[in-house]
Amino acid sequence: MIGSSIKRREDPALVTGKGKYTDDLALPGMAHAAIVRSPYAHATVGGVDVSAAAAAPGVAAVYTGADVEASDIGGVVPVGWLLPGIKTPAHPILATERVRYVGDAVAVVVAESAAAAADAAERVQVEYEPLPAVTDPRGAADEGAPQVHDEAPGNVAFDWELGDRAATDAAFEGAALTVKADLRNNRLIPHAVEPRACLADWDGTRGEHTLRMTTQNPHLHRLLMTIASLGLPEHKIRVIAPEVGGGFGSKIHHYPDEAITAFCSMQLGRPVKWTATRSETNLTDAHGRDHRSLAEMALDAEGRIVGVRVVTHAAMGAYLSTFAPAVPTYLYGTLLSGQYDIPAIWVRTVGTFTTTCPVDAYRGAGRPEATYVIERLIDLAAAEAGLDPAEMRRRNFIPADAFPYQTQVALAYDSGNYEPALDRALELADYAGLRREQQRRRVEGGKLLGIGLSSYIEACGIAPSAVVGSLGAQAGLWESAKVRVHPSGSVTAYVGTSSHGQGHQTTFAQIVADTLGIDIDQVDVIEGDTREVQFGMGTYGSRSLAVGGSALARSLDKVIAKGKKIAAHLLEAADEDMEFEDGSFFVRGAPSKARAWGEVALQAYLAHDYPEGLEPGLEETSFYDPANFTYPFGTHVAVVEIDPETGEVELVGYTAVDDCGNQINPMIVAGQIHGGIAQGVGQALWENAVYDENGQLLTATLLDYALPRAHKLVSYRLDHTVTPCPHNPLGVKGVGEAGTIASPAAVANAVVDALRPYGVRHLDMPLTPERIWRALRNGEGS
Amino acid sequence: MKIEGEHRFEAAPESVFEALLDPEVLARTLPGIQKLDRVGDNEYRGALDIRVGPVQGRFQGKVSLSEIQPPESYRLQMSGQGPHGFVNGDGAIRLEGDGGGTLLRYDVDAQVGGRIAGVGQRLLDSSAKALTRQALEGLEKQVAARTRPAVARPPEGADDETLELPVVEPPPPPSQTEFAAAVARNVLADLVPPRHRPWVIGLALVLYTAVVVLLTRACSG
Repeated sequence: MIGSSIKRREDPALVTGKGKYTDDLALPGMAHAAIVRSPYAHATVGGVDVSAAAAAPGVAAVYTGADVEASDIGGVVPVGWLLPGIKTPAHPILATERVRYVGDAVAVVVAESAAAAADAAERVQVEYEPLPAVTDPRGAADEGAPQVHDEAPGNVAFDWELGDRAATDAAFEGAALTVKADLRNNRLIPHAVEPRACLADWDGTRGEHTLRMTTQNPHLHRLLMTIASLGLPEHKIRVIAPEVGGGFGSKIHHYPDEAITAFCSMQLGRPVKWTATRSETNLTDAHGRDHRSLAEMALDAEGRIVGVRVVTHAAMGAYLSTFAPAVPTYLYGTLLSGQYDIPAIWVRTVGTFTTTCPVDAYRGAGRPEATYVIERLIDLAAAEAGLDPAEMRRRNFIPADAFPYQTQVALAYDSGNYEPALDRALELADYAGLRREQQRRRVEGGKLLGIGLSSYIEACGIAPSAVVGSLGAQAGLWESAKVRVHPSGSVTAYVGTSSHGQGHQTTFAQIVADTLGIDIDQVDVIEGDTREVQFGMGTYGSRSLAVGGSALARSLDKVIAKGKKIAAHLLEAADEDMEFEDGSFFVRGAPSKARAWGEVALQAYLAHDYPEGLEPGLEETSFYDPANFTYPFGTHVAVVEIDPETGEVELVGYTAVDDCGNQINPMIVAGQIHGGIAQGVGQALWENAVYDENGQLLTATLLDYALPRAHKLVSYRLDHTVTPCPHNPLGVKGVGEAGTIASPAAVANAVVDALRPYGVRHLDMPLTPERIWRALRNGEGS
Repeated sequence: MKIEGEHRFEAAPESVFEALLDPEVLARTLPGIQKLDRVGDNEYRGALDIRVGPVQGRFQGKVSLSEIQPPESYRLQMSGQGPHGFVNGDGAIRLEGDGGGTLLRYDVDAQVGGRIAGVGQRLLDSSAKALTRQALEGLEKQVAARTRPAVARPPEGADDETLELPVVEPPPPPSQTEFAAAVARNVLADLVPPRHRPWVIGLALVLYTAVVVLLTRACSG
């Protein structure tokens, strides 16, 4: 069962339209909320006149920030990760004095229908006094830049560094070769298919609030609602994630909107639903990336890296979103060693406030940015040194016998074997043949061929609690799982992760069925409900299997251990002589002396013929805290063709060899790789969130924000190597983000590789035909 | 967004300048204008119906004129806000004599925000151009109507001394349909190369006819 590509059990309902998402739900007496948002990137708010809206047909109530302040709820959205010296200006759920990005919420209208609420919202009159906007992550720190928060002079939210600066500077001084690049990691908009939504149902008589909402982590949302937004006791809030249609990180974060909806329901004493429009999604779902980096690499005469030095400015947007401070620091700086043995690394990250939508974790979260920096630098170095990019990487890989390997940027890689993955990728892509064809075209003409490599590493399976706690996390990042065996032997597993497309209903059930030797139909998985599930940290950071799956495995071990005691009693054998295999408890060396799984499960509940002192029942819970991150890796090869006349770029080949350790369901793994690659190719070639100088989001619709489409992609060649994780029970590492981490650098390297004869060293993403066409004519990046 | 250009009037700078400062004239000039009230010295409040691509709505706003140097120049500041965003502008209007006529130069820096920028930005330039051109063409008609009332012939048998000029009704402001058509023309001009335009227009007409026929049938059936 483990290792078999069974079809996803959740799909029949989802693909036939029977999935129940938050917006599909309705409760008796339900009203609808529409949120009034600032059209200005930065302005002081004068009066808010709600009279016309309140008088509009079907309107139940209109609330402003003053109403929130006058109530006894907390009314703010907190930050979940603190860094030394970090500035954490308050983020009220409804702005009262100042708005700081286009989309900042200033009022909410509740009406009998969603249409009536939307119509009335247009009647709310807000007096704005415009202030200057600032949108560039680096420019925000310039002297004289408009100030977003009085508490954060120079717009600096934090100024963080990691590594040995003196050693790194020394390495650069003695280097035979140095390369340098000013890199922009383009701002992205997540685009989950299902927009965010919340259905809040306040029960005033019991003082209980039930929030059905689009969340990747119901328990964290409950906690943040308790401590900051609503102020209700934690046990009086129930957060339920119905079907959730994708998140990519955007549904980790705690936003004002869901808290506003909860507030409205409490005020009115009736259920209230809010569903974001696609425009609201683009304006307010935390964006991703948006880095400017000055990156340098130093090498010795043999092409070995001796130092890496990076100064990054990372946009935080208008407010610090839930995990935002961790993304460009501990999920980024720590990854700058890549797959390479680098003796000296120093990184500084300045997080800056900008009058834009907040930036937070988006699929890959810091690791695609780190991979982009290191993989662009190594290609620049290879070109400078006259080495083939594959050879350049090979020379610098951490050798297979050097693990565990301590990097210069805090992480200790537990395992790895990088060269076989590179070799397999080169073989599968026919790298030698591609290089010959490239050479032929460079002589004979035709479309330009570019080949790009990306040898990535990620730290996922987030995360060891004590480690993240020491780095500023305001939560532990362990995971829990409970296995409840029913008297007839079927099983319900309660896991603290929260699937929103990952297929946990299948993968987790495979683990249970395989371990207990029962049919998968005998297993159900419950997630995404704080009342049902003990506790949980949710699904993100490629953690569900590595951490949640491990908790599940631990609980199954406990169940089997108890089952052995029951079986030993029935068989009149010693506990320690019992074995369990294929659904049968038997005495070691005497397989005929056995009791079937179902008999033991039943006896656990009958407790008629039962070991003395053993509690009845068969239900076990584990809270699993990982010993380390997991470190998946691999090499991707992208091949592009460029029309030298028009600059049009076409992806013509893509090979990925990934190592995510043991695979539970290879089809789900492949699906994750496929989607991840598409998303990363999107960043490399098309996607770009653009704010104009006044802070207006110019790419606010899908007319202007170009997502990858199927016909623009190719059939990927996939393969994998297997280097099991040594520190978790399943030997698994996580794969949800791998494609997105590797592919932007692979595609960018391919495009620059194609343009090299034209003197192009670097081009920023997205690599649009216009940008390429200009570079072809100017010989240098725009 | 920069809105700049020039327009020639067949009238003396004084007449054009006077018209430009007359709210009555302006109200008849700007397409989509619903009202324009004088609220202070050279300050007006009004409401304007604007449509940019799929975004339409009524903007409430004010216009103020300063640095007025008749008949040569003034500075114009405007701010408008509606359900779908805002439009703010700051610019200079300059007039100079041009062989009996007047050459008007305008140079406005406009800021547009909210949904009108996020959703309508592809059409903003075209819409702004159309709006400006229509406004100027409207202004030209208004100026002509003010400066040439004498073309009306005196009534038969009337005494020259007691002659009362007939009231010449100034031309009406352009309708929403005219405005929409002008915008469509400008958008087309921006998007479609000239040699294809007849095709596109032809195709649009065919489709339009087909839809009308279908609708008529559907309604009568």
